[in-house]
Amino acid sequence: MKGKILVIIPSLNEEKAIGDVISGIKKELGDCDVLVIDGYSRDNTVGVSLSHGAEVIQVAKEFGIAAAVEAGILVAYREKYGYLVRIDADGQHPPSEIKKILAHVISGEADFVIGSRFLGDADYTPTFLRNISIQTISFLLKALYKVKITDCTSGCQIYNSKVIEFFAQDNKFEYSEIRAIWMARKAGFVIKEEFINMAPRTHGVSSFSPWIAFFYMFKNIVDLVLSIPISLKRIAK
Amino acid sequence: MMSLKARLICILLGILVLLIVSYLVRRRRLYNIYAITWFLASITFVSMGVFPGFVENLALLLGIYFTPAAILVVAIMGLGAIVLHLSIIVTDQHKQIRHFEKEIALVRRQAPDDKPLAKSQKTSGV
Repeated sequence: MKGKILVIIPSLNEEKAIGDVISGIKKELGDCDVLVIDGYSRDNTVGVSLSHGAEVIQVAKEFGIAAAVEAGILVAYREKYGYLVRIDADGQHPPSEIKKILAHVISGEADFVIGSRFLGDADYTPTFLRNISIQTISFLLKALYKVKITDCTSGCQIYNSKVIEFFAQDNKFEYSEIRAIWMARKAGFVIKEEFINMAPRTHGVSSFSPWIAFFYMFKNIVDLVLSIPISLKRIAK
Repeated sequence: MMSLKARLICILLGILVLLIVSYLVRRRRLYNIYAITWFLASITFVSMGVFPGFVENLALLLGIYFTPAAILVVAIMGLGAIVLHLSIIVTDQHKQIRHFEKEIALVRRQAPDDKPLAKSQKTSGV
């Protein structure tokens, strides 16, 4: 083992699902720390998480899931964790599958692994609009960064310590699943995508309303297009 | 042609803005680097009054036949610059607030064996 594993779970009003997620992860991964990053839930998410043996920090939900994940990356960096696993709180990523794809990072095969719902035969079909946005962003990622990612908005991402350090030391970094991909790619990390089955949501509601989804996609497409490296040398060639 | 009256108004308005902004900076009501676009705008106005040739040439360049309208164009561009500057400031401050929120979150971390906090207070919200 080259370092401990930190599992971060951004959560908002997930008291029914989060207990099983935490105990499942602890059972499957064994030696790992679980950090729940709560957006000041109105229900007892914090209490349930603590009683299942997870540590909890709270980041106001107005800052979005982005600030939550950034706080998690900071914790992982400052406490020198070897691996960071980011999963969703709703129990859609089965812990046994996480273990399988985590192995690709631990073996050193990749620096950054994404759990994709689209590579295999998952029990999940995105809505029409969401599908189109994902396709668009995947196409842009491929065209601009030559990285083939089918599920760029997946909430299951695993980093090794080099990627953690890269994100944590960038004080202008604002997380989004997509930005993490192209920033890591630009910095030369090896990104791999592995199939992960996705269980249907059993409790609670997704915080991903149509409006939020629209702004998320708008923000990320603008970001991607404006991230094209402009270099005079390249134009001269 | 700019009338003497228009030139005087330009100079006086420019000086007035310059004085108000200087006063606010001296009283620490306005952070000095945020005043920079206001200073630039007021200096532009004063120089338009002192060198009317600038406005006349600008009017010719833009194809405006009524010269004083060029003053309005300059004023609108100045306001645009100030608003853009404010947007940059807002972005910077948003980043700082995000940064503080994360740091506060890390300080107030709760571990399983601790007693859960009675009622966690929201630290900030936008």
